[in-house]
Amino acid sequence: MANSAVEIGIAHAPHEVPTSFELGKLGMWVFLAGETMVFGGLMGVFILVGISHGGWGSDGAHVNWVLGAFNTLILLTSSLTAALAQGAARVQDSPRAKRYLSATALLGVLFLVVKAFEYAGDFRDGFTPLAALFWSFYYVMTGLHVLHLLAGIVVIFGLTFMVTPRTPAGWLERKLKYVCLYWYFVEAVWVFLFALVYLAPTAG
Amino acid sequence: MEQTEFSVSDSLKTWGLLVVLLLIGAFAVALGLPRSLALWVIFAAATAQAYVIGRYYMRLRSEDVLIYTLALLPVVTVIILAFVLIPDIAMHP
Repeated sequence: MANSAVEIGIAHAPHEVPTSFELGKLGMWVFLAGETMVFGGLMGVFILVGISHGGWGSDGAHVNWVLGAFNTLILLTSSLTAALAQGAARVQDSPRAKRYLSATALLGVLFLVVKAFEYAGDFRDGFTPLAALFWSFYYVMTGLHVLHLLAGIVVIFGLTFMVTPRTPAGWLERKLKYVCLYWYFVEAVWVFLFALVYLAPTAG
Repeated sequence: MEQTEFSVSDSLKTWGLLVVLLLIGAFAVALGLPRSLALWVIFAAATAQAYVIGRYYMRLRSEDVLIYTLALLPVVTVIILAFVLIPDIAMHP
């Protein structure tokens, strides 16, 4: 924590009182706590409604879990590149951090492209949001996740364009910490969505 | 405290572990395990993945109690709220 306190002391004007807490990080965690309630609430209702209906039956069996698994692999890899970008920023290698950041955003775009193909296939087969309760949940939960991912991609691309070889390493490291925290959270949400919406309905 | 070193090999190991857990969940479906067993495997693998992401990528291993509280409080709250709804589900006609 001492290092964080020093960071705050440097980042702010001298007249401001340095805190023992990194406020940006605290704010991001408060935001993620709210997001957890949103996604957790949706997932909880999905599970309870599924139980009350005796499972999702044949509706749930039509999801393309192989494409879902491929998308999970893409997101896992994007988190790896995000972690590598953080590592590069920590050793003050801004150009390498920028390359890894770009890779992270591009993998996010690839996830969206695969998801678009998946949605198109579902629509073509008649599985629209109004086809059944399962599909309503499916589109709301995965759609909300897509919106979060999209926001992450925009921020990461924005950060990528702001990074130059002269970018102060401390600044980049701090920004990356918050952005990557959000990105990892979006990945963790997807891990549960994949288990809940793709694997569980097709199991057994 | 949070300046935990973060090497390339550590990142790759974490990624490898996450991929193995993904494959475990996928194989539970692909191999056609009995439904109840498959569900246990799927959610155990997903929970383990979330734990690995939280501990190693989100650095929860080096955070203090306030951040832990912020991370766990909404999860516990959602679980409690879900349990509160169970009687309504049980009495569903």
